[in-house]
Amino acid sequence: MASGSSGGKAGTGPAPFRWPRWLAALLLTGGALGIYAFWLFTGAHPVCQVTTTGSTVTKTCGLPDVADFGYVLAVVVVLLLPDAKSIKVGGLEFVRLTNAVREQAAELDHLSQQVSQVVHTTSNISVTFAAARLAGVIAEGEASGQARPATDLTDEFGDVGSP
Amino acid sequence: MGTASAAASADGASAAVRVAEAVVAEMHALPRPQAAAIARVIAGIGPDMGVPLRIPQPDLAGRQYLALVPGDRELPVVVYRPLTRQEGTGYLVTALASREDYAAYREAEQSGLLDTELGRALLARSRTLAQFDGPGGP
Repeated sequence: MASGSSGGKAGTGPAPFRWPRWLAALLLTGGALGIYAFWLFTGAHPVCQVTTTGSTVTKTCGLPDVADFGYVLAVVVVLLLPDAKSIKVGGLEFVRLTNAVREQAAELDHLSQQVSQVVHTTSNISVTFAAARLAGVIAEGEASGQARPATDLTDEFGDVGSP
Repeated sequence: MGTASAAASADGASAAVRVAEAVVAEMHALPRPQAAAIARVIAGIGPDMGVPLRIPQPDLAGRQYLALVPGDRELPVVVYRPLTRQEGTGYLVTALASREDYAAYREAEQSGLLDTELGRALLARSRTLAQFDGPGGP
């Protein structure tokens, strides 16, 4: 028996013309059931079968066989097929590749956004950390005291590499 | 940009420039030619030089720090401030900052990161952070 599961994950998006297809499927199913019920309750026998046995012609009328509604069911299945994420027929399962790819793309996009956010936050922390360290170095310099005249340093370090 | 030029240091007229002991210690840790180059940059400090730094750190409040960025990219950035009225006239060199820390500071200042909760929290512990020799350490 074939069974389908409809896709509904956020971000994957529905298949095109979803509502018109569903409405058509609903009308078809409702219409077929309605007509069948009408025939059943009014005692109508719209489907006749003529059998000829020798010179005897026998006409047998009755309700349509349930199998006759297979055509309606087929049309309804075709209408709803685009919404099916996967279809199981017996032991085999057919997964719609477009949905799977769409899901993967959405997940990748989400992951990419998260990575980007983490990188941005890490970068901000790193920048702020370094900036605060600069302030700390300045504060250390302030606290070290015993400032020396710059001229002492030029004497001490000499003219190495001076132009 | 307050890029220290050879012309700025050539006159060496700023006898009123003083250098904090921590800076002198750092200069001793530098290769001799770099230390000499820094000494010349420091000696050239005078009025209308340097890039103002806005550092919202309580310990440093009320002082205008300036940065001199030497043209030689191997040299650290010189941070200094004018002396207060009580201290006299002239300038005090308070720090040699790594290029990375200085660039990070500019970025943090421009993007307002220093005024965020994280910025304030890190600034409050800046003296401790100064002990860390991170990737941008001098």
